[in-house]
Amino acid sequence: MLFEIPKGTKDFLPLEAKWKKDIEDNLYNILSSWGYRQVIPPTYEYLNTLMQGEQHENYFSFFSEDGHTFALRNDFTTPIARLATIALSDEPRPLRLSYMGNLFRLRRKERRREFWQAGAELIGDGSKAADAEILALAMDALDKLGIRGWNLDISHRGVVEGILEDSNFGSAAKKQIEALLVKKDYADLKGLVEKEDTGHDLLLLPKLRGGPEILTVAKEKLTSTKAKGALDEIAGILDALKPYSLGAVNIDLANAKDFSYYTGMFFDAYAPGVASVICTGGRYDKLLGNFGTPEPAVGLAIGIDEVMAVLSEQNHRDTANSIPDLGILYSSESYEKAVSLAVEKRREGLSVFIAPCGEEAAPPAKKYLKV
Amino acid sequence: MLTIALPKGRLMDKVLELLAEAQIIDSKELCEQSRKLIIEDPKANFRYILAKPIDVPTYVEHGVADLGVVGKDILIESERLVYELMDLGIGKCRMIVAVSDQSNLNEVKELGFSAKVATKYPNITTSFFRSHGIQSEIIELNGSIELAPLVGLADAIVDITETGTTIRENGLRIIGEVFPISARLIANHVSYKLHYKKLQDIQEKLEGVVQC
Repeated sequence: MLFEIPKGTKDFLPLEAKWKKDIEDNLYNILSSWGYRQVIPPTYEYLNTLMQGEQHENYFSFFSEDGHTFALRNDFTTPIARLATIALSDEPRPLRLSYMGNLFRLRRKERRREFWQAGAELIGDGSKAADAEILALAMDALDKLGIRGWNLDISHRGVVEGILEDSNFGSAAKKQIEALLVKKDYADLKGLVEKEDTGHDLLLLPKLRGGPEILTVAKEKLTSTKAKGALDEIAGILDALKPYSLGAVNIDLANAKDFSYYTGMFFDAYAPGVASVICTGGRYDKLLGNFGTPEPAVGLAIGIDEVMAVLSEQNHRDTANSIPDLGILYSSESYEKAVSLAVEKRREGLSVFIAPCGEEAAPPAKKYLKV
Repeated sequence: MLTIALPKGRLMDKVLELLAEAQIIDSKELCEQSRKLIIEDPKANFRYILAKPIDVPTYVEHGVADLGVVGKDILIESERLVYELMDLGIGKCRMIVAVSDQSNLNEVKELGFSAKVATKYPNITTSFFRSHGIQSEIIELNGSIELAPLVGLADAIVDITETGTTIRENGLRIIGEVFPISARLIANHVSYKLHYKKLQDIQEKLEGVVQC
């Protein structure tokens, strides 16, 4: 019998596990240095709790002994919205929280079903400065992780929403349009707009992409007042971002996301070498209200697997490997000596193991000491 | 260098014609020259991967190809996460439901509660019948789908047809349409962003020659 691991899971063997831990420590320090305190929500929750965020059909779910449905967390933002609203309701705002851990989604094909994320949530601050802080934190993290050539695209939920509100599409067609925008299925989008002869501004979006100057172009072209308001908001966020002087960002007004809890600005960051988004986030001002008290919030998530893939592709893989510093090799008489020497060396900060053999048969170590 | 995945087979000739007409490639001969799987066009700074159609979205999703050309049928069936940038207006056909001429069925909904359906497109077929409230037992075949109702393997088939001639000649009758099909230009999520200007340029050239 072969003991395989389930589809979509992965073993991190020593070298990779060490490297992952280093990246996580680095991320933890970056998030802490911006004043974000880590919280650890449970690995599984009531399905009903998770459903307050995003109603995907990808939960790993199971039943409790008394008939409740649980699900493995498939997102951190929703559990954190829950604990911020309930357990941390008395803490002064704004609340800066960070997280790190594994998530589970029943995804198809070769996509990972257990994957790792770190992130930050800034809760109770609806200002443009808060949006700018999260963007700056994302950019700072990408830089400090050593990722080269990254791009960050900013979008705003209000643009598409505004165009749809001013259009005559029915609610089914609106849903369909959002799905088409997520897939950038511009062929079918064009077909639908022409068929229903409304919402023509949607067809302008794919070309409204570029530097901040796009905002001016977009403001002339788009007719929706709400969309124009969203453009002003992006401009304000960019102003608030300037003092950080962290490099350029792009605007992509056609960007759309299938995480529909976003209400305002949202963004994606990606880098050459890896075909998926590394860091993503945005403003979600309605989610916390689902747990009781409505509060504005904005956050980001960094895909640790994606960071490892990018760094590995960009040959930045950390070779400071997982091999212990010292192997103490002992014979039948020197066991006690080996143990006490190991205790001493560990106290000095070295990583040490003992082995009852010669160097040839010993597990890998940077140095050996025979006693 | 941009990498473009092209589908071998039925669509290939028309794709090359379109690329030549849009002056993305010099001439059709570029990709006809040999049995090579990878063809370089250093002058244009492009590289072409010639792949089995069903694999084109896979190459693009994984980012080894930045762009790809593939039929809408295969795009939907493959369930790959790619951006679908434009309808190229070539390779037009339809995904249809057909039954044997001898059958007394005239509409899809008459197939009843448990229809046996033969197809090369199990994902499309499942979701189509589900959306019509019909439970279907999918029998996956890899070719000559028309045979299935004739020999009693299935009550109906879901397949693509251009004119319906093959369907009729094989003693079958079309009772419903799933959706129309044509070739699409697809892009990898990250390539679309990182090479936006180059992709935009290709798209504009194609828009100039495409007739939808």
